Amino acid sequence: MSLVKRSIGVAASVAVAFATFVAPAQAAPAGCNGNIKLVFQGGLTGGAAQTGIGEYNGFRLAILQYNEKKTASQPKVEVASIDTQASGSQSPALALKTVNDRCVVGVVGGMYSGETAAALPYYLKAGLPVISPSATNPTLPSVGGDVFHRVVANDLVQGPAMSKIAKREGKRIFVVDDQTTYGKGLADIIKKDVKATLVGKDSVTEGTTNFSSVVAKVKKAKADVVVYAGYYPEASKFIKQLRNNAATKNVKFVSGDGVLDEEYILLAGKYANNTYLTAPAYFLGAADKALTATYKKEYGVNPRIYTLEAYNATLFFLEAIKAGNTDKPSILKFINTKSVKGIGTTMKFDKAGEPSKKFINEFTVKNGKIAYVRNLINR
Amino acid sequence: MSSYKTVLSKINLRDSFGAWWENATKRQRIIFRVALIGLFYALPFLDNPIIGTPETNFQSVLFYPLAVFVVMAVGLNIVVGKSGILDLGYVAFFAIGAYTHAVLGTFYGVNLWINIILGAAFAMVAGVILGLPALRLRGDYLAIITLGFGEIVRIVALNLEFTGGAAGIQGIPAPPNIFNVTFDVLDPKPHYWLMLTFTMLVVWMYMRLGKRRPGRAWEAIREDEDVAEFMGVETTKYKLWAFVLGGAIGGGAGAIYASQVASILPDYFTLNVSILVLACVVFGGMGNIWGVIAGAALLQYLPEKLRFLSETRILIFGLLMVVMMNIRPDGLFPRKKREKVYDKVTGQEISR
Amino acid sequence: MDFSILWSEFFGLTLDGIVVGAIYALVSLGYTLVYGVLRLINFAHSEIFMIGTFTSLGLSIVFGYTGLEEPLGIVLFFFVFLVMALASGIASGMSAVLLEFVAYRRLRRRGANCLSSLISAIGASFFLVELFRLTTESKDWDFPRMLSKDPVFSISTAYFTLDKIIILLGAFGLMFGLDRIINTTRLGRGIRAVSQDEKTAILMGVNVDRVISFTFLLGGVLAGFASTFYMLFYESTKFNVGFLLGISAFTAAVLGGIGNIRGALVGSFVLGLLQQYSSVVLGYNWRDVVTFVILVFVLLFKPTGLFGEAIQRARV
Repeated sequence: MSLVKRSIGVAASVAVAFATFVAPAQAAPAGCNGNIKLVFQGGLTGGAAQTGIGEYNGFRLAILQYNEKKTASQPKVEVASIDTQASGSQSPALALKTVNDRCVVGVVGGMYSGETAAALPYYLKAGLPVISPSATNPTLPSVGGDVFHRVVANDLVQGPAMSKIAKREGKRIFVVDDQTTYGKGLADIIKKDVKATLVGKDSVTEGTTNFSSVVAKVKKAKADVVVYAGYYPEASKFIKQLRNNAATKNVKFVSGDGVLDEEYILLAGKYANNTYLTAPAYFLGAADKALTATYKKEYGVNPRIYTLEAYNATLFFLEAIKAGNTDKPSILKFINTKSVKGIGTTMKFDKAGEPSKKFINEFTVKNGKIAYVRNLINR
Repeated sequence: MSSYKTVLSKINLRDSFGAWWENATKRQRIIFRVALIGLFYALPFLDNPIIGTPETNFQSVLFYPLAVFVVMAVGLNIVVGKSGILDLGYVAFFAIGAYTHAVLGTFYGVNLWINIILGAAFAMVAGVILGLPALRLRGDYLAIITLGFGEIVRIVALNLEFTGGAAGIQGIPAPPNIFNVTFDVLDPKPHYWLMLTFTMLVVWMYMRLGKRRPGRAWEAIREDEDVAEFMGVETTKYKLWAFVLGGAIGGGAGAIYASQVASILPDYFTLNVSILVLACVVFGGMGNIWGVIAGAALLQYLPEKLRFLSETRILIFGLLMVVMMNIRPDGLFPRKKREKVYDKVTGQEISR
Repeated sequence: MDFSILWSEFFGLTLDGIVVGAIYALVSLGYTLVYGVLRLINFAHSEIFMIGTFTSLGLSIVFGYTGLEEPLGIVLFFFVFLVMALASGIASGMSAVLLEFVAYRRLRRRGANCLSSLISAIGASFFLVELFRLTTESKDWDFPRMLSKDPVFSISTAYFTLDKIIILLGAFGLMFGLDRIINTTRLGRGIRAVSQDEKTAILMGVNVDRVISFTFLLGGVLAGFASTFYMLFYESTKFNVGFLLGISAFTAAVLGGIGNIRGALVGSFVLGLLQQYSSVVLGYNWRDVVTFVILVFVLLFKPTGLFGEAIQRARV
């Protein structure tokens, strides 16, 4: 080989060797060199983005207000988020990334039960405290152990509330689920609850657009109430097709918190009217007008379902930080032991991470708007 | 138009490397091999701003997608690259391996080492069940059948209680400590080394088979199946071999993957994954195992490294596949064409 | 497995099966025509369909019909519907021609093997899906209810609503039109010629490039019309709507005998009916498995399809 070629080869090898062997020495960070962060986990793009953005804004607002009002000695909190698209498939990589960021001291999320369940093993291993504003599946505490908490009642409470409505509105109940962690879990609870009056059941998958065979089954079973356990993209199509079929056009439609969102009304149009919806949540708009005005000013939109819950969940973390806790173990201890006053309620968690105060509200849609009807369960 | 072709033809790493390799002494070759292998094992410790990935943890990236896709690309290369069997459902084998460990490990306490073998075995059985009837068909029909098979596996896993349904399976156990190394959800290194070892075993096996009768049979089948049959190559048997072997590799990789991520969903095993692995093989160089490895590593590494790429990753892969097929269908590192070319005038052999 | 619903709802399910089958038929013709002339499975045809759905959707937004409360008047509806169908037909048709030019033409010139062409097709398909995923925020897009869905008349449990009638009439009309084109026009004859024997067709003076572009155009236009029918019936679309519909349409084409137009039609109706019946009997979540299983079984045991055409000879 010529001298030129050889020297180029040598130079190249030295450069590569430097890049790979010497550079690492400078790169490894020890602790967090920056502000402590709270991470929001949820679907910021994708089919459920509307709910996700609503929660994310609640989360951000709480931190924004904290940073504005904090004293000099209290640490600044940075806003961070991971977009799981509300699906469990993205969660592991994102959870791992979150866990490896040493500045992260808490997670507000996930938004849906499936994506939460996929991320929890990582958070548990890392001892990262989690407070979910809206994941309601009852098995989550067993997956998340000590680190998992939520500010909403789970489906063991919501299920019976939905069956209460169903039994109130009719005598022949048909239950449909979407086979997601949330939907299937909820449907199983309801089916057990309405056993005597259950006349039929069916399952669809997320992304179903053609419900004609389900409608046919509902008709055959002569059901007068249909309970759908799932999310609003499918529910909006299902209700439309139910109402379009002469035989089923007057069945009562009951659904849960996965459907309760303005997007449901947008998609289902006038067919959303007079459907029965439940949620372990309440509206920020009704609970605190001043805060709602601030929210509107900041983000240009109205708060949605679970904005309030996300705000409250974040508040819990911020209270822990205000009290002087800035690392994961001490924040976790604070969350496990203390109670915090949030908007409209005082929050405390029991040993499993479930909220000590559980409530389920009934809503309906009147003239294209979500309307609060009554409180169904309050313990 | 011709200028870039001549420039590209001058950059022939394979031949210049091949030239060095021919002349290297046995000692030099051993040193080279050891150094290269050592480098791969040391990779998790070499995280730095230059080669590190900004958004995601480098060590985690090394395992998934890098190591996982490299070994799958090696497996698929046997099927597509070497034997010319277009398989669009390769993810099915990966899924079978993953669910084997997920179900047997979580619910029946079988450990990972056995499950790697079982996963590969079940995948092989699936390969035989699918392959025996399907491999009789010609190219595009076979491709569609494999696609259908891949989707069937996914939808069945989605609908069965046994496989956890849409919620999948959580809490998949990792193997117990060996040599004081903990297999952990949070620490991808041990799993990376495990996958690396698995990959090396697979590559070693491939090198041995490739030079001998199976390898030559596969190439003959790829070049012209009818002629191969005519010349006495038992095409059915070798096609099945290739298919089943590729499946076994996918199955073993799947088991290791399930162990690392600790929870799996049917969503992880979509058609997209099959296509991504295919893209690695196509891009890297069909039939050339080093090209495939390099191609897979490059295709999985670059979107992690370059932020703007990672969001439009599949978009670029799609475009890449179209462009590669049109401009350089043999891949980035084309396989060596074992042909003898004779100069027309002098009758001398020109090696190409 | 519940067969009782099948019997009680038989007419309703049958009607729905035929309507869905009609939509499949229009799309499957695209697959079968292209396969006839090129021996290539146009993987990206499903995205050609998807482009049509978004064209119709886009027009509905442009016309200001989003969130429409009441259906449009019949006359206005027909006018709007026609405009949408034509626009979708043109959009899909042009996309198909462009697709052929970008992804397949060079390979065909080079005489590349089917592996390369298929991979190029897959790459194009994925590119288009991702493109639309990124630009449509991965969510469902709803189509306004422009036509009332009250039944006009009914036979037992089969409710004939106006949209179903329109789809059936429109689809049959288009298929009839296609038959005329294939059998009487010059380019149609060219398609038949190239399907039978490309080399001889060239010798007989057929401009193969033009014939192939025309084939893609035809398939695309049909898919475009189908997409508007789809929007009328299902009232929503998403970036990945092409995948399942494309697989169903392709399965239908294979079921009937790929390369065979009459086969594609019969296969589509058979598949549409089977899907409806099986989703009641087995449960909706198994419906897609049924489609894939049919696909796999037909390819394994009778790859020439119901009409048993030889793979080499494609009867058009």
